[in-house]
Amino acid sequence: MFKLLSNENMKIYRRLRTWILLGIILLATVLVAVVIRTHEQENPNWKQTLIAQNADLQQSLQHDQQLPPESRQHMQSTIQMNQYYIDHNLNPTRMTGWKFATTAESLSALLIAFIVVVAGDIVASEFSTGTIKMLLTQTATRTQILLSKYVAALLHALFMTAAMLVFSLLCGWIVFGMAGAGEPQFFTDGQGHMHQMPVAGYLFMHYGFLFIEVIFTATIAFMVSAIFRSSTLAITLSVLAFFVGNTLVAALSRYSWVKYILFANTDLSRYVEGGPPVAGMTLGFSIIMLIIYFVVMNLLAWYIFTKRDVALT
Amino acid sequence: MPQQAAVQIRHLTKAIGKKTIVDDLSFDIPEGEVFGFLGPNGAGKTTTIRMMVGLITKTRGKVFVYGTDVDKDFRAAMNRVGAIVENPELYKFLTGYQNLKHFARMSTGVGEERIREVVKLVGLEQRIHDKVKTYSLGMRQRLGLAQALLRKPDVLILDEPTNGLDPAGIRELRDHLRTLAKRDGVAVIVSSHLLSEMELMCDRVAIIQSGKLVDVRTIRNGLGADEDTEQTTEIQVDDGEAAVAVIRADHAGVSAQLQESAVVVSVTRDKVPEIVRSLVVAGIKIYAVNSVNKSLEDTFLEITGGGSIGV
Repeated sequence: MFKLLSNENMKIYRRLRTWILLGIILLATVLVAVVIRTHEQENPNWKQTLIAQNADLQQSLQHDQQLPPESRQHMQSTIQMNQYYIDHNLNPTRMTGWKFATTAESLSALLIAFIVVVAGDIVASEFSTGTIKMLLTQTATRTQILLSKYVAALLHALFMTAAMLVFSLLCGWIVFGMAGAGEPQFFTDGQGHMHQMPVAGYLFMHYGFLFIEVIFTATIAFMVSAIFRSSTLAITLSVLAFFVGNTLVAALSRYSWVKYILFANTDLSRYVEGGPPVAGMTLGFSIIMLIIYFVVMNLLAWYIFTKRDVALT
Repeated sequence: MPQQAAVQIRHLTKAIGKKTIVDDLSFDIPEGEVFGFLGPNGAGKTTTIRMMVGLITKTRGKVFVYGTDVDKDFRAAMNRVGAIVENPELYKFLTGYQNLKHFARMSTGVGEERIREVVKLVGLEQRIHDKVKTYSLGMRQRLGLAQALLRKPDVLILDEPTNGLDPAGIRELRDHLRTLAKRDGVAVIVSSHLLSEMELMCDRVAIIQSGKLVDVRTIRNGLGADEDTEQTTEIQVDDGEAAVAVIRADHAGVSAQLQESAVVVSVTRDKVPEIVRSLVVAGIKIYAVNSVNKSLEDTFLEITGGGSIGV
C-alpha cells in the first residue's frame, strides 16, 4: 500500500504541471503583497480619526431611537474595538506580515481550482492515456489503487494549502515585517457579538477551516474523475460546483432545505464568524452532513471504479 | 513430454445486453507454448484477453492460472501473469526506468536487480533514463515487454503485440517470445488478426469467429512441429511434370500434384530431404522449397472471407 502511494506521489510530483500551479500561487501571493505595499497609506492621525468616529457613533446611539437593535449592537462593538486600539496605541491601518497572511487567504479560490485540477485528473488521466490497463493488470486490487490515489490527492491538497500558508507568511514577513503576531483580530459572530483573538491564531484557525473546504472540493473532483473517467468533466464540474454552489446557497438562504446542500456546510468558519448561511443550522448538523457527504461520495467512487469494465479503447 | 496446463479457460462468456461477444470458450494452454488467438476484427479476441486479466467482468465462466481462479484470488493469479493489453501505454512524462520502477513497486519481490535484468533483456540500456515521450513505437513496445517480464511471469499475455511495429520489430518480438517459451517454459498467449504472423509465431492457434471457438490447430512449421504428421510442402521447379514423375517413381505412396509451376507434396517432415535429393539426382532444378499450411489458411479464409465481422 505504501509502495502504491509512492507511485502516485511520483506521478504527481514528477509532472511539471504540479510545480507550475504551485509557482502561480507563489506569484499571485507576491503580486498581492506588492499591490498592498504600493497602495498602502498609513494614516498618521489615526488616533484622532478613531476618536472622532467614536464620538459620532455615541451621538447616533443616544439620539436616534429608530435604530434597529442589530445596528445598535454593531455600533457599540465598533466603539469597543476603536477604544481598544486607542488604549493600546495600536494603529489599525498599519499592515503587518500576519495581517497580510490573513488577507492573502482570499486567494483560496485559486488554490481550490488548482487542487481540483490534480484531484480531478488523477484517475481520469489513467483512462485517457490508456495506462489504466497497465495499472490494473498488476497484482494490486482496484480498491488498493483507488485508495492510494485518493490519499495521494489529499496529500497533494494538504501540501498546496500548507505551501500557500508558508508563501503568504514569508511574503508578509519580508514586505511588512514579522512583528504583530499577538495583535488582536476583531470579528463578529452570528449574533453580532464582537470577539477578538491574536491574529496568528486567527490565521491558523482560518487555514484549518479552509482545509476542510479543500478536502470536500477535492473529493467531488476525485469522485467525478473515478465515475466518469474524464478529467475535463471532473475539473469543470467541481470548480463550477464550488463557485455556483456557494453563490446558490447565499441566494437561496431563505429556504430551509438549502441547509442540506453540501456547500452550505463546507465553510465551518461561519459558526465562529458571520453566522451560518441558513438560520437555525448548528455546528453539529454541519459536521453530520459533511460526514454523510464524505461517505456517500467515496462509496460511489469506489463502487463504480471497482465494478465497471475497462472497455475497449 | 507431458505439459502442465498454465492457463485453463472454461466456458468463458461475455454478453453485453442481448449481444454475446464471447460465447462459451473453453481450452487449455500448456506451459512452454506460444498460443495464438486468431480471428477477424471484432471476433472477441481482445474481450477474451481483457476477461483473462480482470479488466472486464465475466458474464459466465472461469479462468485459472496454474489452478488459481483469477476472480477468487486476483493477486495470486496475476502474480504469475505479465500482460500488455493492446498497445503498451506508459507514462510519457516519466523516464523508461521510472516507469519500470513504478510497475516493480506494484509487484512483490522485484528489485533494482531485476529491473536492470529486463532492461538488458529487451536491449534498452542506452535509452532507459530518457523520457518515454522521446521513444519510438518500437522502443515503447520493448519497454512494455520489459514491464510484462518484471515479475518473471509464467504466463505472458499480449494483445495484438505487433500492431504498429516494423518488420524488424516484429521479428525481434517473435524471437523474444519463442525464446521465453522454449527456454523458460513461459506460456505465451498472443492475439492477432494476421494469419501470416501467427503462423510464424505460434505453436497452436485458436480460431475465433463471432465470439465462438471455431477450431484449435497445431501449426507445423518446423519449430515445435509434430514429426509424425504429414504437412504440405511446395517445391518450385523448372519442369513440374518431370518432377511429379520422379517423385511418384522414387517414393511410392506419396501424393504429388502439379499446381501451376510448383509441385505440391504431402509428406512427413523427415521425408522432405529425401524427395529433394531424388529431384536433384534426376537433374531437376529446384528454386524453392516452402512448407505451407493450406488447411489453416483455408479455414481462416473460409471464416474471414465471408465478410461477416463479429455479428
